[in-house]
Amino acid sequence: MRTKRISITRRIVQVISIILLVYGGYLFKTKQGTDAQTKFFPALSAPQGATSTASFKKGSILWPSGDTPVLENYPPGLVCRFNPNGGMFKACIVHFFSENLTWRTHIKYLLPHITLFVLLCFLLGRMWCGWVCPIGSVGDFLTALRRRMNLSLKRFPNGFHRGLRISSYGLLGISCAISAFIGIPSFARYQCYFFLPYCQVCPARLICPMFGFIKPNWKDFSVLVSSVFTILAWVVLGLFVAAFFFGRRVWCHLCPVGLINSWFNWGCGVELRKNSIKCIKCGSCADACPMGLTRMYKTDRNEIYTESGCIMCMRCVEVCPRKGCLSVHFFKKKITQSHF
Amino acid sequence: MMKKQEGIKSSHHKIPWGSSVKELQNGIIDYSTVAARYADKSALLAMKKVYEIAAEGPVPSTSQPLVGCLCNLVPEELVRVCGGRPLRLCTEDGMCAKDGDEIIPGDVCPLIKAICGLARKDVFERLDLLVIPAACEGKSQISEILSPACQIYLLDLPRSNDYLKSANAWEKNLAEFYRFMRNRYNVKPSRRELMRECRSTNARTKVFRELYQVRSERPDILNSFDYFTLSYLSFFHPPESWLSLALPVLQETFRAAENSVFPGLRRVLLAGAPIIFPNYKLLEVLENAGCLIGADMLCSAYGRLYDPVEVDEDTERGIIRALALRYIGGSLCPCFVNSGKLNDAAINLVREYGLDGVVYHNLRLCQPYDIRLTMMRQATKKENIPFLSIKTDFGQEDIGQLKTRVEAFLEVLTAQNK
Repeated sequence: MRTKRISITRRIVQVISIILLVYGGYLFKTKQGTDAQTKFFPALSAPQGATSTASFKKGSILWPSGDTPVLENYPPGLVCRFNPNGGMFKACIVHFFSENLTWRTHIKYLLPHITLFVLLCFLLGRMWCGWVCPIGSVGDFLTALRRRMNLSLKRFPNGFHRGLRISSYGLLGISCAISAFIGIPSFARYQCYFFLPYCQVCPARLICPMFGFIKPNWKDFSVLVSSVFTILAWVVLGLFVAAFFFGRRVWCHLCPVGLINSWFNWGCGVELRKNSIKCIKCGSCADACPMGLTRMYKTDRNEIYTESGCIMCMRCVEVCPRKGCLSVHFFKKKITQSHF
Repeated sequence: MMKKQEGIKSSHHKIPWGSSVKELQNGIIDYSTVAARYADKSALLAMKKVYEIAAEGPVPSTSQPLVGCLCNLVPEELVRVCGGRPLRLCTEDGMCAKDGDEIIPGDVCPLIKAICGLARKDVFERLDLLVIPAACEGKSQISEILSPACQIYLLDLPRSNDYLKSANAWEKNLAEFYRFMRNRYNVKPSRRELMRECRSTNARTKVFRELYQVRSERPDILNSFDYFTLSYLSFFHPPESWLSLALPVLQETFRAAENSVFPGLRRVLLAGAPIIFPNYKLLEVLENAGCLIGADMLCSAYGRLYDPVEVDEDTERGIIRALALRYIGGSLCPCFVNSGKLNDAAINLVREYGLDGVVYHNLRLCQPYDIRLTMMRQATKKENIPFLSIKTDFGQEDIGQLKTRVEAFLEVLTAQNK
């Protein structure tokens, strides 16, 4: 067996990302908290009277485990607000949208953050999901655990993935709609229940605190709404673990952060190319794809391969048995290619 | 799948072919004279040992149970890991074909006849099991014809080798085969052992690719007889012992390639039906005419040894799936419904190694290759690659005619390159 160079690199990058994104708060935080904040990226805060995570009391579901992060930025990889000690960055992009729709923050404060996000996305596309996202890394660990236990992989049909993607649009739409709705002053009284609706059920909210050996806020049965959210969060966490354990990256079809990243998969810096005349149609690429995508296998044209689900883990390039059939390009420059 | 024919091996009168084995024997090609003839033509010292082993004939002396396989579609790793010794019994022995003619007379592919003829030789008496993949029509049907002679496992395969449609079926069938093998030999191999077998296949692939590469540049040093004999030995030898033969040859080829220059002969791609020792008639005609085989895409050499097993999931099912992709999914056998990947492979090889043309070995009465011919001809014409199709069988009668055709083709190549 040849050396799995890409996989090993990816594992190393994933571990470094976990250390940086999750433990960044411990490593880089100074006494003043957000003193690394530059003037380019204004800190966003709740307007007078509006709900913010800080206004939740300890024990309720959205109480933040940490306080302020090192940098008040929103990078494309899923970084969580609920990291212990604040983490390195503030939060994920869905958190950013939900929060600011509720707070009705002026666009001029949001633009720098959005610009940075878009630039980073254009740089690496959905590679953020495959190489950086700490939740994805946790999932990959679960997958590795299953492999060690010699349990065979559960493969899902393509229609299932499509369904998840549509659900992902639904999740993003609903959470943005609820956030915008409770931002309307006359409905502000619902803010304490429906603030950050996606975060309330997101598995990252429960998993990220555990990295810092802090007990996450498992339950809040004080009111009906938070009871429902608590139970939903448990169900979602169960699905998350099952999806990563029995499948591979099936979950990532559902993740709204991944959905936003995937819009930039077309035209981003990293691209996969196929030289289809070298292809012997063995199906290794489709078989090894953790997202269960098959277009790389199906295509018969020489083309830049882009698909919204592709997380650019480059496993297909690694397993392709033909030299030079698949290759990875970074801004038109060939980085690596399939070889044996 | 399993055809139960208990005790049939000891009672030959039950064989529905009418007579006992010995009576019908037409004789056998003397492998040692054939091997000695080609050993004389070889430029390499290390090939001497290879020909010596080829002269011994197909059956190795070993205590392991012998498991015969046909085609490349049976994952031999699964046999090896269960303690069996896989033998690929595809043969192009003309005498065997004559013997086989009495079992299945008529217009049947000579390779199929040769396999039937082999069933009368002592090879089959020592065989413990014969695994036949349901590839082309002939191979599928002889699973029934040969069932009195040997225990047979028919490996069922879907018609299409499209990954999306058939991958689950391959995985299921191979897992069933693996279960059958484990029960038959009463072993419980761990997946680490299975991985080790895959790795040894990959080590073989690595050496073979180097051999293929150096041969594409210097087909005059490692001539096509040497190359096909070396590939032929992989039919009967596990990767480790094959490597011990191939590595000295490779090293000697590298040394010789450094110390000489290529005389600038025409190099062609050999495509189409397999060429298996001792039927080197076509190779001889090409070689004598000065048309060297720079690369091939035959299932007896390239198709058998070129691809590695790429294991993605190292669970047991995952390894079986990887084997399915390697042996069935990536197969270039024309018995599958595969949209033009054979043509792509041919064109790619011609481009990659800068070859002058394509010679298509069209084995007489082999339907899949005959039907494929049209598409291959069109594809090469579109790419402006000279194409020669040679329809022949194991007989020696048409050598003169073939020679004329190859010489005419060489003139076309020369005219095109000017």
